[in-house]
Amino acid sequence: MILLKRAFLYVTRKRGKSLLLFSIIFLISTLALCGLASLDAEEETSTELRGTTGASFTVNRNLSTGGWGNGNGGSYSIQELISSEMVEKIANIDGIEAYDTSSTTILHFYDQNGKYYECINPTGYAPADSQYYTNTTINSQYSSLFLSQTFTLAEGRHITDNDKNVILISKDIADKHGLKLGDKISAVNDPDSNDPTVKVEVIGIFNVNIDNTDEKNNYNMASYYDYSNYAFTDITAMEKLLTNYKGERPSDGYSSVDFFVSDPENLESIIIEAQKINSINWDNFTITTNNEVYERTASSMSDMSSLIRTLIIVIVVISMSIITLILSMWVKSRVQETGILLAAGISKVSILFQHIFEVGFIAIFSFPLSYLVSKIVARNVGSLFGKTADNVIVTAHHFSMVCGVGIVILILAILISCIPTMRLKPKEILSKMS
Amino acid sequence: MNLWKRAYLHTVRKKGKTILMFCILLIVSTLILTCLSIQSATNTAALNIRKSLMGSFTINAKHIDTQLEDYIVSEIINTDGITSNYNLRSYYHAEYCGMDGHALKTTSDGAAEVPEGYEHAGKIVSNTHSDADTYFTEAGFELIEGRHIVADDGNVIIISEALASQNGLSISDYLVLGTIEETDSQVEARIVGIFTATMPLDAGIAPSYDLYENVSFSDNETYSQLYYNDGNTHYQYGDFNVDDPAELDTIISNVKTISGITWDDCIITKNDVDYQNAKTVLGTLQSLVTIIILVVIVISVVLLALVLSLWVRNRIHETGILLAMGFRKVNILTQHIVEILMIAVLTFALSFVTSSLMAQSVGDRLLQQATAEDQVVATNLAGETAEEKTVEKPVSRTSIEIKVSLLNLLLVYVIGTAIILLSVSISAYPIMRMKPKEILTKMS
Repeated sequence: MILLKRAFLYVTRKRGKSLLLFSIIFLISTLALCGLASLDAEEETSTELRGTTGASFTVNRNLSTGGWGNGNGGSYSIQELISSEMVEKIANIDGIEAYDTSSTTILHFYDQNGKYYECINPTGYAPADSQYYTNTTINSQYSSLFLSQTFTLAEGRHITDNDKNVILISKDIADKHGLKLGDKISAVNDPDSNDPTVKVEVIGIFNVNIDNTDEKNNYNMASYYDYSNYAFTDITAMEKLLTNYKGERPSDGYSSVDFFVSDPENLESIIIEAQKINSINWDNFTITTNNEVYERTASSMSDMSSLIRTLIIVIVVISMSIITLILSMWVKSRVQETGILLAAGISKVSILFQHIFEVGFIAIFSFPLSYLVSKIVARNVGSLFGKTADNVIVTAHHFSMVCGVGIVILILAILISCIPTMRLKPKEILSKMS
Repeated sequence: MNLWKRAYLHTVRKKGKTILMFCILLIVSTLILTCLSIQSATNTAALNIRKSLMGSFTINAKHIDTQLEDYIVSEIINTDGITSNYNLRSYYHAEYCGMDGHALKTTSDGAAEVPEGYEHAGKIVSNTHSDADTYFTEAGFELIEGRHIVADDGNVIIISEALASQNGLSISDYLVLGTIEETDSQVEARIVGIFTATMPLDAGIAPSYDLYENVSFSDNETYSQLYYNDGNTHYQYGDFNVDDPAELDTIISNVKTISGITWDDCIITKNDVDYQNAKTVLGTLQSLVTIIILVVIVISVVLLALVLSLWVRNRIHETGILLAMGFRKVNILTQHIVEILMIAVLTFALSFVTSSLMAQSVGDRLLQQATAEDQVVATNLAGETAEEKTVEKPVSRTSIEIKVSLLNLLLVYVIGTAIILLSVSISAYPIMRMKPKEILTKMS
């Protein structure tokens, strides 16, 4: 009787035992698959969690190495500005999620008939009452005022680098003047000069969330403008508005740019990468990191993820030991059979292969079934908890890992548990087995 | 032969089966206990993450006549969940005078206007801790001489380098602060520190008293004497930190039950942006743990039930014989259950030891890893961020303990026993329904 037939017959005749082994292999590999999928989900979620701390670095002009010039407003730095090419190059580094620059300009806003939009808390003097503290932004979502949730978008959308001639205004201003999304506002830098007027479209309206009256924020010029009188516009609009002001236009360069990284763990290496860009003369710029929140939370976050990882490892290791245990019991209970087969002249290697094939027959069915079931389990159990569902995904890669490792464990367990039996002679076995 | 003896003998004679059952029960209960202990440790880790994300709230009581008073503040900081780190602030304008009554020179260059009555005046910021003030943390002020103002200070002041040099003042000198309004009260203050501004104030529209040169920092005592002089200390604003930002809303509503102040006239602002940003993802991570534990428990239960039912089904033959001998079905069923429970009671107790050992080694590993990572962070970033380090309030972390709790052990006992009772009974049911004759014919 050939080896394969013996194995097949054993599996089909000893239905109870086969079913037990089948179910156990199935359960354990389902557990291992879910574990592996969770391990990936943990990594992804932990990265996302670190990302929520909003780590960034800021490139500033190095004012100490540049020269100083004199003008009507006092002395000013003539240090090189950060050009958009430089920004582009740095932003192309892997791991940088977004960037934003912030510069502010006081703009005057008018309606289509040339009547000015009065700001909140007006003073009663015409030119001052149409002044808006306007931030030029590339990605308004990353403006520090939005990141700190001082402002949150109530309607519409944020300004991105594709936008041209758009504006975000506060809810208070929108309500006061009946402005809504899609309305046009005429903006001008200095109404008493020949500065061009630019029509900008309202694409977003923001809420002011903080206590405007708390004096702790009154430490610089920005505090003289009510938060409701803030606005955000894009670089194209600002370029035109400031066309008469050489050196202040966005195309002349930025004085500081914030780069946001998706994983603060990589902040350090990304900065090193940036400093390797040869076309930028780093003597003229400084880099400062902003990752206080991450530094504060890093150790607790790594505790959390190593706990979860350990949990999964414990589960996978223990499941492997269950399989090994049951397999060795399976082989050991067959001392008698082994003795008879040996006596019948069948080689030890052949008997060993028979055992392996038996388990193989069973595993061939239980592995794929566990793949299907764990996919369903991951999806359904995950959906009980909402967002987690997107994370726990059993992939073909996990499956191949479980199959690979599973086969090795199955074979090893059989080999090891066969050693004592195989070392004996048939006579010894048969006398022992009683 | 009674039931107990039968059960005992079966367990002792069928050594192989007993050991298999023993091992499976031990491994499964160790698995569950270890998982549960790690899960409760992840809850501590999540709490630590929340704590280090920090949350705080600010009470703006400026518009109340008495503002915040000491007895209210002490009730607030005694509220559960509020840390001992807090800052109480007031802002006002005062005229600077020398001890002999002459008005001090102030800076007016670069001011948009010098309002009437403010020729010698400046903005005074009162703080419990002046180093936490936004002028120092955001606007680039730096103390160049002396010390910062701390909680117990009274009648002290930190002035600008410009104010000191214009008037020949130095540390330990006294000056007099006077109100600008009609009340005309005056308070002496000793100079304990001198600061300089490292960044310029955007020139243009600031009135003279807001110029950086004319700003001073003082203590809340001085403010109260100048404006109230009733023996109590008053504060316009209070910043309070909470231990766990997830509790922020509850804590604020608890604080609002404190009597003696009209809360409707106060503006309470929450500051928990970092927590709000991380909240959802942190929740996802925690529910991931719950899912894993659930899957483990379900699979373990199924595994046990499976092994147990096969254990019972393999004994049809024996059952038939016993029935034929006149033993009652309940008696036989009880025997099976007793056999397994004998093993289970022992293994569950042993699993407490094994899982404690596992938890111990996991904990040791984790502790090493955490300290190692802390060091890496510290050395990597020390050079770059040192200069712009803001004043960080210390975060108190709860130490993570991975311990197998007796409650979890009890849970394993209860669930384990329930599974044993259920699966043995259910799998014995078809056999028990048959008559002995049927069984004996079937069993071949």
